[in-house]
Amino acid sequence: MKLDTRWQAAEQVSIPLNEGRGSIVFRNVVKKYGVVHAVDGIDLEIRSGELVTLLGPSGCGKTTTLRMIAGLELPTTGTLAIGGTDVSRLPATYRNVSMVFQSYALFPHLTVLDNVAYGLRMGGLKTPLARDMAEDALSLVGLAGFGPRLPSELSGGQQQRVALARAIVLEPEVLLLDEPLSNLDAKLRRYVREEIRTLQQRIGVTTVYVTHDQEEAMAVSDRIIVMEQGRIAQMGSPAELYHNPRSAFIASFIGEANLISCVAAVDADGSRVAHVHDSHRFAVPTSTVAQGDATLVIRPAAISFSTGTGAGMPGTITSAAFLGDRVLYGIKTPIGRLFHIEYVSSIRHPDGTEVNIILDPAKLHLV
Amino acid sequence: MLGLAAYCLAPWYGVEYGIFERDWIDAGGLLSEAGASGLLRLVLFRDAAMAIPAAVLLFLVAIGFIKPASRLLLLFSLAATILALAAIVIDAFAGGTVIRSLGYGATIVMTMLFLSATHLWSRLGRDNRDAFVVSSIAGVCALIVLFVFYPIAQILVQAFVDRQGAFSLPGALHIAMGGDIWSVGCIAGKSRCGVAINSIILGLLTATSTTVLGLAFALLMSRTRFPGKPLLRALAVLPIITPPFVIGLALILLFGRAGFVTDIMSGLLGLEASRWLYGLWGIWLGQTLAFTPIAFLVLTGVVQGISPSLEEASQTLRADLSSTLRTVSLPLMKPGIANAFLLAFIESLADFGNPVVLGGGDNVLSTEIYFAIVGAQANMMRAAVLSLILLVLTLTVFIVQKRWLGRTNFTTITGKADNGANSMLSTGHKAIVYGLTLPWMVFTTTIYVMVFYGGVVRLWGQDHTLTFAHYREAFDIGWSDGGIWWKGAAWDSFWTTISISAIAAPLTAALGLLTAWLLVRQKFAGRSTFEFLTMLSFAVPGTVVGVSYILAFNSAPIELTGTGTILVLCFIFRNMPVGVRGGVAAMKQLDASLDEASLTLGANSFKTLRHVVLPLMRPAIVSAVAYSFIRAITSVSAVIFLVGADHNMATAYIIGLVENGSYGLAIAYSTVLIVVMLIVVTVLQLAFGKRRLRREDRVGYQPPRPVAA
Repeated sequence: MKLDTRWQAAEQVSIPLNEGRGSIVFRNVVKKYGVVHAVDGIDLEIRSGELVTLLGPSGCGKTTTLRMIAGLELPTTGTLAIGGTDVSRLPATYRNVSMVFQSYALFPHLTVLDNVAYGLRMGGLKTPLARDMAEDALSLVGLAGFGPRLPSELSGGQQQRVALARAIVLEPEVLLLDEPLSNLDAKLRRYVREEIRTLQQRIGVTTVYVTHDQEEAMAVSDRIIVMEQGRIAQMGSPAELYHNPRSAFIASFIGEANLISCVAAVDADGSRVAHVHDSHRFAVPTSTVAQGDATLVIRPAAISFSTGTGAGMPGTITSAAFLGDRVLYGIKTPIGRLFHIEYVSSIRHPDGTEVNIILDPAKLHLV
Repeated sequence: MLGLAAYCLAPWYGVEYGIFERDWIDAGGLLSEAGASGLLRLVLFRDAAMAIPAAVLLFLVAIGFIKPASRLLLLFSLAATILALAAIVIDAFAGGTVIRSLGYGATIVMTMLFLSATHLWSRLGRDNRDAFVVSSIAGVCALIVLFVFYPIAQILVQAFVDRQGAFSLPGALHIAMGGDIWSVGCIAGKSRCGVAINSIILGLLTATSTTVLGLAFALLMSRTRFPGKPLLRALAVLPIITPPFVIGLALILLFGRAGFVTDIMSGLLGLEASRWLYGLWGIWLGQTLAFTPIAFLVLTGVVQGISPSLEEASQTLRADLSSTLRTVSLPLMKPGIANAFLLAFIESLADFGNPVVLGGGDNVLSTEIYFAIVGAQANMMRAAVLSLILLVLTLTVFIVQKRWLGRTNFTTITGKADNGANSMLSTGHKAIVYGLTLPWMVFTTTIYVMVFYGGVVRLWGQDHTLTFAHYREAFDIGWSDGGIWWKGAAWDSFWTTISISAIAAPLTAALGLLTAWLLVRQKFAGRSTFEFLTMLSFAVPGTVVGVSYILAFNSAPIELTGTGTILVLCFIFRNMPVGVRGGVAAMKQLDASLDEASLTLGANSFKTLRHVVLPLMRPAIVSAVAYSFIRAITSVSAVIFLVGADHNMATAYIIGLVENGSYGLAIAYSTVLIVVMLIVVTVLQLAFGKRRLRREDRVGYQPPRPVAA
């Protein structure tokens, strides 16, 4: 739409995959600041119309990746294509990509309407037409009639929706969201993330969403890309990541898990097992490690226990925290401290209760 | 698509226009050899040097039509453009037997070539920068080189050239090593010290006294419940709008031989009126009065920058108020205090107004340079050598300040909410602070009262009847058949000052803020060097600037002396760093994501600057304009070399009055200047100073009425 000839003249590197509107392809992209590798060689493909989350702890490179899609940072090496066109050296101004900033970045000196119309006017649209389109975008996010106000007169959630309207009114190829919920209070978050998801589905825009909150990522995404130290640790659907984590990092980051050091081995009958402290042996259904040092992932849901002694592993309750709809238990066992969640409305087993623990082999995982 | 095409072509059409411009500017003498345009010179007078620019210009226009230009072509045109620029410069400096100064035509052609070069560079550049950003960076650099470094280089050259125009290293060394510069006789009490030694002694004295007083005032302001804080703030602002020699004048009225205090003392104690004020001690007193507010402003920032939680931590660790100040707060303030000290040292070295009024027999470097030029001998070589010495001194201190203190900064403002309050002073410290500050406040107030009183007394020391005669002599207005007749003696220089300052102020602010924006928001190679260079021009003393401009712009190829232009240029580059500092501070307050949001919404960096950054920076812009205006009006040191018969500035005129002993008139004129500046600043602040981000400010806003379908 606003791509200038100057940039269309840039070489059209043919990237075979994914030439649909708003598709994004990274090929061995590196971003260095001085000697620091903020992004250290990533390859990824995002399909047209998909909502993908970049998830990871702070400093993992997810925001840098997002800013490279926006064109606010240009890759040091590697190629980046949007909609089948190489945009590796194209600055933000000339890309058809919109971004919702963590701080919303609403222009405080312009009214809500002028904020939303800003991008249209910069694209050369006449002011009256731009304002009409901006009104429509405001109605789309449920803020019809708020146009004449200044951003400082709106609540945080309303400002967030103005930022969203300002981004989608340009009908961008790609919509970028940088931690869009981090400035909202906890109750509003769940509501707004559903809104964002619904709106994205409705207009079908390719969306890249940065967050460090795994629950948020799992709730909104088609796919999640987990990043760690400038690299992609794993990507896949929320369920894939939860059930088949490829590393201890992923296992601990996606959902909650007990991580126990162990030694992996294959039994004579071919079944995979994990040895903990040479004294305990657990059969595991799937594994990414065949032999040697590994980590046993025990989700809270894999644990069940009863009071007294039995065939399972002995344990002692060391802490019990009541959280309203569930109780969090800490249990001391021979293989280490485990935590378990019971969805009950009161603490049934006080500290010091001796219990007998059964692990469900189907829900164990070795990485 | 069209936007970019127009953007690419505009500078080049501008170039053609430039040639056109050249055709008609000199319309009268267009066909004469000297007055001909570039084109005509080429055709009529076979001036081969004019062929290169013409060829390159035509070539560039042609390139503009080739749309996706290949890299090689771009590279070639860039080389050609640079060649053409070089050709013009070489032609200007060494073109044949007669060196002529460059006219409008050449200036415009060169500007356009320069813009084309930066534009081509931006198209070539790996990082695909906006042409606007590249042009701005290159433009600011070129301007600084032309109007700061080129003149200083001229000093360097001149210092080694003797009266006969021959290169003379021994001559330069002879001047530089002379006893009149480096003698330390006064310390032993035998004879007078050299001017450089005088400058250094004065600098150390002034820096010490202003830092101590400034710190005391800063502590008084933020660590006590002193009731007179508003008065203190007003007193801190006053010296900024006071021309630098006014305090010196007031001191003469108080302590001079016919001074108010001198009279009382001789009456009471029988002390004989002496000339003690005229010399190092007088200058010291004057400078301390003038620069303490600057130290105060710097140190207030430092004192308030100490995180309250550190002081509270110290107190919870059983330290009392007094030892908290001694062991925690003061050590944390050390770099800030050193910074204030060095700043005052530089200010003292560069000061011209106080020494010229109060110097008497003791000259310092800045006044000695002045007398070398205006004196009977008109010794340019001596002036250049002295300027070099002064320049080296101030630059050394400046670099020490930047390099050494730049790294040890303990200021603990973090942006995180820091609760708690800074601790108050202990009783003992409070007594010291009050003891230092209160008498000084009384003294400063007296000085200003003297300024106003001095202007309405017939003849100081002899006839103390009140009269408006001085005001009438300076600012009388009469009526003649043609309209208002500006009868007063001061009107001429007054209007010159106001108009030149009014032209320079917005330009200064624009250049300063543009530079600030480049520094804060753009990442480019050599950014820190760029920053250092822009700040460096701040450290060059005004006297040195004045001398360098005389040397650089007195003859072809750039002849500007005696014009108003040179004054405007001088103000722009002297005061630009103030705009830069203000702009940097203001821009750091603006969230960078606002700029980025604008970029992702399809605005280029120029539009972002215009629609987002500038509207949000309005208070900073206003203060930059106001401050440039004030500094242009009050500056003396550089101006005194550059004023001509047609363009006399108020300050230079007043210095002349002081030299003639017309104190009453001088003070009356200064008072008027102070009042005018107060009014201008107040009006500017009231009219444009507020940032309108809230509804309350939008008085009279009507929501758009719904249009009936």
